[in-house]
Amino acid sequence: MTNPEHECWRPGASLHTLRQRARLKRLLRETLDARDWLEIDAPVLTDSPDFEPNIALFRATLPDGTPAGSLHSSPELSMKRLLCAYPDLPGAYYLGPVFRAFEAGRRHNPEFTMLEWYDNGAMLETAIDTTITLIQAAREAVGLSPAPVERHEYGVLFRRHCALDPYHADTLAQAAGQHGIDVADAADMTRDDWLDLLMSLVIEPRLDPAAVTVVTGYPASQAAMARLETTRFEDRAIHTAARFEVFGGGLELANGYHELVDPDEQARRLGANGAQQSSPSQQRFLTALAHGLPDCSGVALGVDRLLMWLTGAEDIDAVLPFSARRV
Amino acid sequence: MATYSTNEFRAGLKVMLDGDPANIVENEFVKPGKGQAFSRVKIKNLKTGKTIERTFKSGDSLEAADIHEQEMQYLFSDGEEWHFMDPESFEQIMATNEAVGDSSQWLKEQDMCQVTLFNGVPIQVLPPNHVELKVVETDPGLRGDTATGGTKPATLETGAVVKVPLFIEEGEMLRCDTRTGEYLSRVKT
Repeated sequence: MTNPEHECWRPGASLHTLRQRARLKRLLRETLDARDWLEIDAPVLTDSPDFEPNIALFRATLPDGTPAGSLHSSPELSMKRLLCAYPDLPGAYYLGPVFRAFEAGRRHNPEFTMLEWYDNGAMLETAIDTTITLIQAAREAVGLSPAPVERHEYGVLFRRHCALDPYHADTLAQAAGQHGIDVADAADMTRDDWLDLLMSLVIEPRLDPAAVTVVTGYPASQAAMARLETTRFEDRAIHTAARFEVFGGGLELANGYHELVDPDEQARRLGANGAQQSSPSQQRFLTALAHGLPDCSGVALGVDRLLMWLTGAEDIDAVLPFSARRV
Repeated sequence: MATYSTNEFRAGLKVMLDGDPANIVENEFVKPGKGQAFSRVKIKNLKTGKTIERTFKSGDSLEAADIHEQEMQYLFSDGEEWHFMDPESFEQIMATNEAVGDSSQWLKEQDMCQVTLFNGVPIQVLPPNHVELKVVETDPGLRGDTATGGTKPATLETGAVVKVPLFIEEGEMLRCDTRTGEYLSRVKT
């Protein structure tokens, strides 16, 4: 993960990979444009737009030190406001940079390229199909055959790999311990923290490395902006989010929601989530929801991650011209 | 004392873990879905030499450990303490048997060693990678047998026992690799 300083002037990606990267972005645009969806230049510099408690923002300041907003970590609020204003659009997408402070590692770069789309009128299943279609088309574009698609329920994965019911079990910490996960200062770990750790460190590495894996049935607590569903797991009623994740091998590629459109429920859940709702863009978002968001599904796909999976890269540095380690 | 937050964790950082000084060997950033970020760290306890894995929530911090590594000359042992000298300041320090550990079998007076100091006290001593030591005990050599490839044990002046070719005699000087504990060659005197 570390490169000697005298090599850091060079790009991390080979010229071949950079050509594949350019081709991939072209393919994504062509595929979505062909559906008559509109590419949107969501503002990169916004006020504090994020409702996600676990994402840290890069703050912008004016030369005199006055706060001047932050770099967006997702175009979600802008994109939804746009759909509220133009509900006849069949779909809209953003393909460009997003920023998340401190997220640096083999699979993370603080600045990365996101494809985020909103499909007007689409249910979750349609969004899953579109995601798979884009991934298979991307494979074809770089000369790979289509990958087998696997479909798993969140609960079934936890039952199989961690021997527990993720919606009810109170033995999450013990299960982590059995898998050699030793958390420092575990006292303030929430249920979702434990589930996330087990998902990342136990389940993801056990997903079929050659397959595209779709996971649904995430707990309701793990999706602040998705619709909720009541369903059953092992004969018990459970609350889940209308959310899916797509993995390429064990690498998380995309996340999608059947979007919540009820402004009151949205405001209540964001409040319960501990998010501040004070900034103008957040207020404007809630005003837009009150005006009316069409029934839609939204998906965010990590373009760098997809390229990592397509090229077999172990490190995100190998698919970027200049990762944060080289800028 | 300074502290390091998880986003400053990197290989080689010296921190306090469970009351002991430790060295970060590897730091992996883990961030699942929309969830909490973690640092998964491989970390070596510098007192016991044991490497363990520990997961930290992003934003957690560890106290820095006052660790210095220094080249020092080994002077002598009085049986309980091992005496070393800083070749520049001529300052002398003593290391315990515990700190010297298995390195003792390679330590020859005057040799330069790598001493790890925690709060100014030695906690680890590493001998030079290559040492030249005299054979004090081995079975009689088979003169002329340089081809059969057999080996026998030989005890060196510092206590180490190495496997040597059959032609090696008592009193000969050998060059050895202290990292592998292997005989490398004879030293012409």
